[in-house]
Amino acid sequence: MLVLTRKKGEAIVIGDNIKIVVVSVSGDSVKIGIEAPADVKILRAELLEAVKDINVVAAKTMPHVKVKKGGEKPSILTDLTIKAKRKDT
Amino acid sequence: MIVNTKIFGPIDVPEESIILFPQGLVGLPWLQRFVLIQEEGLEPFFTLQSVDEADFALWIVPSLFIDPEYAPPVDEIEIADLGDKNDILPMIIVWTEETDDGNHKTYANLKAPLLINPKIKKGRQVVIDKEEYPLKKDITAVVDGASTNT
Repeated sequence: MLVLTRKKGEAIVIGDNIKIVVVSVSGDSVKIGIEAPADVKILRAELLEAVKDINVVAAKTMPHVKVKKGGEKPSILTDLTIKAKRKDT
Repeated sequence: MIVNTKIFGPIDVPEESIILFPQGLVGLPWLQRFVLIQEEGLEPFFTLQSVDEADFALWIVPSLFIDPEYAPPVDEIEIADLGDKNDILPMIIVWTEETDDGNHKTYANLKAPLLINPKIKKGRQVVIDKEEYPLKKDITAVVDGASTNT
């Protein structure tokens, strides 16, 4: 990983159109400003980690549940859906 | 083609039923091809089965079932490849966790829905970075008799 030292007010440029500015530093918190094109999605890394963790957990603990309140499936899905029965458990 | 599934064994799936997630799922970019499996009597819940990893399957439900008002703000750019906006269906991932007292709770991830366009068979998982879209919403009240399937 590239590591740079920056002071308050200083910036880093990534590629042609992303700029990251150190806005302020207070204790162990650093406030960062980001200028980037609208099509660059900016998210906190721990949020993506949390979503990934849920994806993994959800795939491990797929529930056998009975639906209390049933519902129609949207008709737009009908052609796409494969019907199947569970293996004997 | 034959797809090996987590809970249904091998099933025959027409190629045209495969849904492509070009970016994969969040944190799991290699999981790009899925099929949607419906079990009788479990409408509107579906199994989203990975074509490439038999052991990876998710339980999903149209967002309508959980919250008819659900309309997460999504950047245009993120759904640019998903075709007509009106054909996109938000699907919510649902799972079960065992509580300390041995009961089960069922949760829904409203923060990272799967946006699927059934017409062009494409999908994308997006992240809604807003507090009012929880990662774990307790929906135990709408399902029954949950047991895990680890």
